[in-house]
Amino acid sequence: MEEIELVEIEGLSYTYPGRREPALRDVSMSLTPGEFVLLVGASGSGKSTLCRALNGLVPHFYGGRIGGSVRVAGVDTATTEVRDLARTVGMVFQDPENQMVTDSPVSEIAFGLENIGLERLQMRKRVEEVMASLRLSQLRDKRISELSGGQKQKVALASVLAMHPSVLVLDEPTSQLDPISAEDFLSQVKSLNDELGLVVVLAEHRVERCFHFADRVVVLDGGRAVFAGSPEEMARWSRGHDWAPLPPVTRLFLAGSENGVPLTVKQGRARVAALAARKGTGDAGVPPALHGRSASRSISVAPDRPDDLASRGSCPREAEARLGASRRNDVVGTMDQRQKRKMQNKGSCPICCIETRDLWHVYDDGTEALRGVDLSIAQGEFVAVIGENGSGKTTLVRHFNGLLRPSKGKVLVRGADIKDAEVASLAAGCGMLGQNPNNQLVADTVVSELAATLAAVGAPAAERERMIEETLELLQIAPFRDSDPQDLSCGERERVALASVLVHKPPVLVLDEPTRGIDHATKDRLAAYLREYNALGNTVILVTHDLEFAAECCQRVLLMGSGRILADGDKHAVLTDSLFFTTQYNKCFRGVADGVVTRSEASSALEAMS
Amino acid sequence: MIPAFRKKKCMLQALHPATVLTLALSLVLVSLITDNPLFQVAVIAATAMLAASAGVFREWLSWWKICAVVGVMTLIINPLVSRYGSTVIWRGPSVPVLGHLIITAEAVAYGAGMALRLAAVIWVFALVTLAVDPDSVLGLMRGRGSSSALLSALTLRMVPTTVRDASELLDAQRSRGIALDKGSKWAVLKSRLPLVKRSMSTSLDRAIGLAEAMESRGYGSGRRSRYEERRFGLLDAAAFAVAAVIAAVGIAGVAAGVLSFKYYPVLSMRYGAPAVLLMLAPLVLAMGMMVLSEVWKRSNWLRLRA
Repeated sequence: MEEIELVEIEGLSYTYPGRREPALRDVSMSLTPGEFVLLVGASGSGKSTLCRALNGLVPHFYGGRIGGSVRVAGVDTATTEVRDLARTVGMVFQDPENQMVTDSPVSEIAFGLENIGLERLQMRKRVEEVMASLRLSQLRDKRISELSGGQKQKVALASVLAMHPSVLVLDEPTSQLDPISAEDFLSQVKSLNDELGLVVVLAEHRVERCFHFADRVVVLDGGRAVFAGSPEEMARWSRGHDWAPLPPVTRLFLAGSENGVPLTVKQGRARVAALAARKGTGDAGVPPALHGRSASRSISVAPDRPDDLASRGSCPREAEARLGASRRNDVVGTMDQRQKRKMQNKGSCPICCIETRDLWHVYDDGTEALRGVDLSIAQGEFVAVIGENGSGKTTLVRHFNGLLRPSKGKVLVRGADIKDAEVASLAAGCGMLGQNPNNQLVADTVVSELAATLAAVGAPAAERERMIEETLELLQIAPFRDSDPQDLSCGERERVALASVLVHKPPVLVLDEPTRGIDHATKDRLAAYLREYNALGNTVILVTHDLEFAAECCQRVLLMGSGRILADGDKHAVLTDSLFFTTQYNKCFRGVADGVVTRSEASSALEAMS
Repeated sequence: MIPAFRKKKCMLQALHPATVLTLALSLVLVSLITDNPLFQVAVIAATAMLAASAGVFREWLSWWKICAVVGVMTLIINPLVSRYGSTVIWRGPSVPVLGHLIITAEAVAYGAGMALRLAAVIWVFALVTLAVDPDSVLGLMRGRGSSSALLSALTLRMVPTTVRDASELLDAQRSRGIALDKGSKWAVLKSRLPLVKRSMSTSLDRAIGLAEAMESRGYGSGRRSRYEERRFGLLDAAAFAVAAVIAAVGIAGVAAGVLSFKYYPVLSMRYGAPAVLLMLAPLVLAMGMMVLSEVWKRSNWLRLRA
């Protein structure tokens, strides 16, 4: 029986006003009821534009030139107003902050229903229904401003669902959320798709959370739909297209796997278990890498840390100090808090660049964001600070350059208490890139953006031009030197913002969530820049939710929770010791191969088994 | 940060928003029409009692900073510009615009009286901000008024977001080594000017995002229906009565001269039992509201009729 098409897109091309290049080029596809479609592609590939074309915001809200057609439930979106399409197509946007109209969850959910003039009784029924189904009832008496990002995004979803749409469009809805909230949100969306038969169109960068949910994956590149097919087909297709986003576990098994590739950790674990079993029973000679463990066979994989350090070419003293710090922290990670403080307070770190002693921070509203944090970071270390939202990660690093002052305790930078130092004066020693790169960009051109930093930190005038050129080259932004940063794409802006901090080469670089909302390729480039910067002997501190990124880049991991350091040590020690705060690779190889946290380690483990 | 409305289980929040606004209006009215500082103190005390009954006393009290700033300014400016009063306490030099400076005790007292009056009005405003749901006030508006009310509510809601954005922008610039607080006031202003453009652009982006979200949820489709329809109940009648009595006491007191207080040429006030009774009236009524609020919390019968 032929399926009815709910959405038909035919030869859709669209150019934003004032732009020469089209954002969408000749896109055609059709969606049937109950389908879950995942839109992937690099920043600026046209995902958001395609989402907006589905509910008529493109072209009605933005203007511009449109070609081809989009028909939703038989209605042409180009000739129908957005507000009239609101009952058929519901849309959830990227930033939960920007889509809340009222200040209470109930009135927010009712807002759309009031707009379409629904009767009060029906409104009440729909509001209660969606609140119950999305488990929002306990938030009824809260104010929107009191909700977390994940809760706000759920309210946004509820306010759209209450209008009973047939098509649900989500434009990177989890990009502002922590992994746990994101997982929860996407699971809700999937269950809505399963149970209500809603068409779901989801644009996402972090595909590992939703790849397996999709019935179809559409890959956009430069405004064109270059691939459309099932996740398995997409994985096969991506063999010739390295830039295509895939979940880490899928990418791992891609090479050499002629049959289907795993899409989830569960499938990955099954594959690993099968390989390990085959190796353990079928092969006569068990490779030396395999050795028995108490309950299961286990493979030891050499961590890539020492090689990494050696290959970075940093000076031996620094490399040794780094290794020393790592080794010390392996131990520290398993010690209790008191022992740890004792050891760190002894000043056992000879080239400490940042140290905190019994650091507490209490915000004006009484929130204890940090509770007695003792920490020392040596020059040349690459540290990742991980933990759930509200665990104190950002609060901690904002003390390193004086943006926040301790409520109690001390912060020492190179042994000196920075209690009375101004933020601007500390910037030369500690550069910091916040969560929103746009905040960094205020000048009219990329070059003047970099020059402003050099002038501020008092770099020698004769050196400035050279320093700017070097940074432009390092971050591959030389072609945009005279462009207005605001005219650049998201990934390019991220690099310019990073350049504005890196240009004076601060010995300590702190980055707060640098991978939030950026695509796979930009992330890989960023990892490469940061490794290179660290290899020069600089300290890099990364606050992130992206555990794969942290594992690939860093040596040391700090796990925070409730304002305290819960674990601190070598990434292998911390990540393998954690059930949830670990990489997909580690989850796949747990119990089979020891200490696998990065892709190269996972590949080595696979090789040892095959 | 100024504390905002939070939903609490209290009688004031259970009342119709129009009722609470009327009650607040009556307090502002009597504060504006009477000169008597003791009556102003009574109004402030009555407002404090209502804030306590709504469980927001601490938040309400935190507005003292605004009251203090406005009060001190009034206290300083009035004696400098006023030439009235017969008790000269200081003769100063001649200054441009103001002429010879003569400070009188009466002008200082008048400044203090005005400061009390302003504090009373600010604290009533604080009570409304803390105890009345802004969305329910929005719901009072119909037709063209509702669009304006929505616009005002959205603008007000964007204020803390804009302040937060601006603060993040300043932090980002400081982290690059840009000294934004050094030098003269002019230098500080000049160093911050380029940030205004960025700040405006961020606000504009947020506004566009909000407009998209509103349109995507059918805003502007035609006549809107209303989810919340608050009805007037027994307690609203009681609160209206309290508001009416407070207004009547103030008006009657002023008209009869019972609440009269003269600052110039010398301080003079009418004493007597009627004056004391009228001054105690707002306190007694607020006390009544407090008791009623406690009963309301414990009595299902009353809650169901509120």
